[in-house]
Amino acid sequence: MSDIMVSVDHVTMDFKLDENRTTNLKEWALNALHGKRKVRVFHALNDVSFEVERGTVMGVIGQNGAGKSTILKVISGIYKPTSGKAVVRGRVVPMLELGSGFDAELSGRENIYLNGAILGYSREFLTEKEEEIIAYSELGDFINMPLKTYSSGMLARLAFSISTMVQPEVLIVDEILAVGDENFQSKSRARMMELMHGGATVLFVSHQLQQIREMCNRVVWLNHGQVVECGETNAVCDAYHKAVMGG
Amino acid sequence: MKETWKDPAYIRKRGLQLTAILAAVLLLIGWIVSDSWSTRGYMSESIARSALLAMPHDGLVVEQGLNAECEQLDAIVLALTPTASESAGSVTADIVQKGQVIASREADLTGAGDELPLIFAEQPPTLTADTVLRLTFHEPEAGSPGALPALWSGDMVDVGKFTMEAQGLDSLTVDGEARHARLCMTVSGHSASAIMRWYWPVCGALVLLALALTLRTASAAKRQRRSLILTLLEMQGRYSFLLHQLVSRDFNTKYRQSLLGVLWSFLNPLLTMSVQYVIFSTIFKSSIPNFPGYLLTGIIFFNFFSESVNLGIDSIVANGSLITKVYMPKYIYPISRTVSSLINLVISLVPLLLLLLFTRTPITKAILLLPLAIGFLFCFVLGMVFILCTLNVFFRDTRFLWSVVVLLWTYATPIFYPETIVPASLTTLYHMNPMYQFIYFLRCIALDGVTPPPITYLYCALCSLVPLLIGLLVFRKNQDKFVYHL
Repeated sequence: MSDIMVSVDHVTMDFKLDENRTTNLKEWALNALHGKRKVRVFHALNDVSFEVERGTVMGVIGQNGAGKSTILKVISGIYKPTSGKAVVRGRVVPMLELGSGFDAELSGRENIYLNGAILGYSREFLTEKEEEIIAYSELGDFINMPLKTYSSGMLARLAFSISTMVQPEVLIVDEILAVGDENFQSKSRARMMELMHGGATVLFVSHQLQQIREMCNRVVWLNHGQVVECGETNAVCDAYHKAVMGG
Repeated sequence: MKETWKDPAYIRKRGLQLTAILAAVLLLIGWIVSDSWSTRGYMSESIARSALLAMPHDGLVVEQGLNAECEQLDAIVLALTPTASESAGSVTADIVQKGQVIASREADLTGAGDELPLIFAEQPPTLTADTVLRLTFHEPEAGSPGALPALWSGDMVDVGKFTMEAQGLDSLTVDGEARHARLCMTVSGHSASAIMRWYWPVCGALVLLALALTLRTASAAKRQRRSLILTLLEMQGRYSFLLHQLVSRDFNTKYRQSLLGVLWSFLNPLLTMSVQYVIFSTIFKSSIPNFPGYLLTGIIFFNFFSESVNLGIDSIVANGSLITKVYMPKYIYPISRTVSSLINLVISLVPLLLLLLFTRTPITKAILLLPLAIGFLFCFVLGMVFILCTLNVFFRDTRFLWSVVVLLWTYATPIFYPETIVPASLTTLYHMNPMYQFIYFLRCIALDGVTPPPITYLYCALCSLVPLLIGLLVFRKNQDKFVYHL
C-alpha cells in the first residue's frame, strides 16, 4: 500500500500583516484617510512540497514560527494557500485542542454527539460507539454532568476518545498528547499506535524530539516556512538536533 | 459514511418528493386565494358636485354613457338633492345596450337623502363600450307631499387634495339634449382577474420545471458530473446531523438553569404584549380592532427578527475557536443560529393561536398561509444575518451600530401603533420596510382571515429573496478571509 494520501504541492502561504489589523471602523477610516494601507507580507510557508503515503506517521518539526501549525491548517482546509495546493484523499479528522467544539453547559454525553458531529461522524456511528467512547475516556458517571464541572484532564480524555474512536483516514495532531495522567498518556500512546497500524495516516506536530522518534516513521523539518529536510525519522531528527543545539 | 446522496435512485426519489411538496403548496395557495383573487373589484372615480342637472319633472329622461371600465356592474350610487322639504316620486333606471334594455331597476324616491343606491349585484349586467344608463323620472301621485329630487352633475374629478377634468364629458343627455358634463354617481363592479387566469399555468410550468431538474440532476449524478443541486444535496447529507446538533445545543443551553425553561418562549411574547397593551391601549386601542392580536402579531414577528440578528451577528466571531481548527462550511454557523430562533418563533405561535381563540377572532382557511409568511420572514432574516455576521468579523463595531439600528427599526414598523399615524408623504418609504410587509401579511391572514392582495406576495417575495441572495453572495465572497480576523 503505497498510495499518496496527502500531497502538498508547492504551497505558499502569505499573511498580510496590516501594520495594525483593523477590526474597528475608526481605525479603518483613519487609515483610509491617511492613505497608509501599507501591507507587510509575511511568508508563513514558502514553496513547501511533500507527500505522505498511506499508513505513514509523519512528524512535523521545526522551531517556533517555522510554519508547522500553518501547514497543518492548510492541509485540513482551514487556510486557503496563496498559491499551490494541498490535496487530501479521504476524510481529515483534526484532534481538537482542549475544549474547542465543546459546550460547557451541556453534559459529557451531549458533547460526544456535538463534537462528533463537528468532526463529521454520523449519528448512527455515534450511537453505536457512545458507550465505547465513555468507557475509553474513563469518565464514569461524570459523563452526565455538565462539562463545566470537568477538570482539564477529563476534558482532554474526552476529546481524545472522541477523535480517535473512528478509524480516521487522515488524523491531524497538534501537540496534545501530553495531557492526562501517566496512565492515560501511555494509554493514548497505545491507541495512537493502534490507529497507525490500522492504516491511518497521521500528521503529528511536536516539540518533543523524543516523542517524534518514538512514533513517527518519516519527518519533515520546516524552517522559516521552507522545507529543510524530509525523510527518515532518525536522520532528520539528528540533523535538526545538531542544527538547534550546535548552532 | 454511506454516501447516499450520490445515488441516482435516491436523487430521483428526493426530487419527486420535493416536487410533490411544491405541487401541494401551490395547490393549497391556489385554493386559499382563488375566492378573493378570481375577481377584481372596481369603483369609479367620483365627479365633484358642481351644478344641479335640471329642474326635475314628470317624464324627465337622463342618459349617461357608462365607461366599461369593469366587466360586470354591481351598483350605481346617484347623487341627489331634495328640491322640496321632502323627496318623493320614483325613478326607473334602465341599463341600455344598442337600444335594448338589459337590466332595469325601479327605485322609490320617497324620503331619499342625498344618495340613491341602485343595486344590480344579484344578476350583474355585462358592460360594453356602448352601454348607457337611462333614468326616467315619475312624479309623485297628485296630492301627496314632496317633490322629485334633482340630480347633480359636474365636470371635475376629485383626486384626493386636488381636482382634475373628468373624461367622457360628451355622453350625458338630458331629454335628448347633449350636455358637456357628467352625472355625479359612483359605479362599482368587478372584472375577472388576470392573476387567477395565469396562476394555474404558471404553477404547472413550475412543477414541470422541478421534474425536469430532478431528472437532470439524477443523470448528472449517474455520469458523475458536478451540478449545483448535487452539491447542495451533498452538503445536506453531510451536514444535516451537525446542523441538528448545533441547533439542539443552542436550544438546550438557552433555558438551562431557568425555572420555567422552554415555557419562557411561550410567556415572553405574552408578557411583552401585556406591557404594551397597558401602556398604549388608551392611545391606540380605539383605532385598532382587536388590539391584543394586533400587538402580539407584531411582537412575535419582530422579536424573531431582532433575536436572530442579535445572536446571529456574533455567530462567526463566537465560533472563532472552532473555525480556526476544523474545516466545515461556515454557512452552518449563521444558519444554525437562525434555525434555533425559528424554533422559538414556532413555539410563540401557540400563544397567538390561543389569543385568537380567546378573542373569538374568526379563523379561516387563510391561516394555512402561516408557513408561507414564516418562510418569507425566515429568508429575509437569514439574509440579514449573513450580511451582518460577515461585517462583524471585519468591523467589531457592527454589533454596537446594530443595536441602534434595530431600535430605529422597531419604531419604523407598526408593532404597537396604527399605520395610519404615518404621514402620507412618507408612506412609500414606510412600505419599503420588509418587516412592515411581513407583519402586514401575518395580520391579514391571522386577524382579518383573508389572503393579502397579490401585490403583497410580490413585495414579500422580493423582500425575502433579495436580501437572502445578497447575504449569500457577501458571505461566500468573504468566508475564506474570516480565519485571519478571528
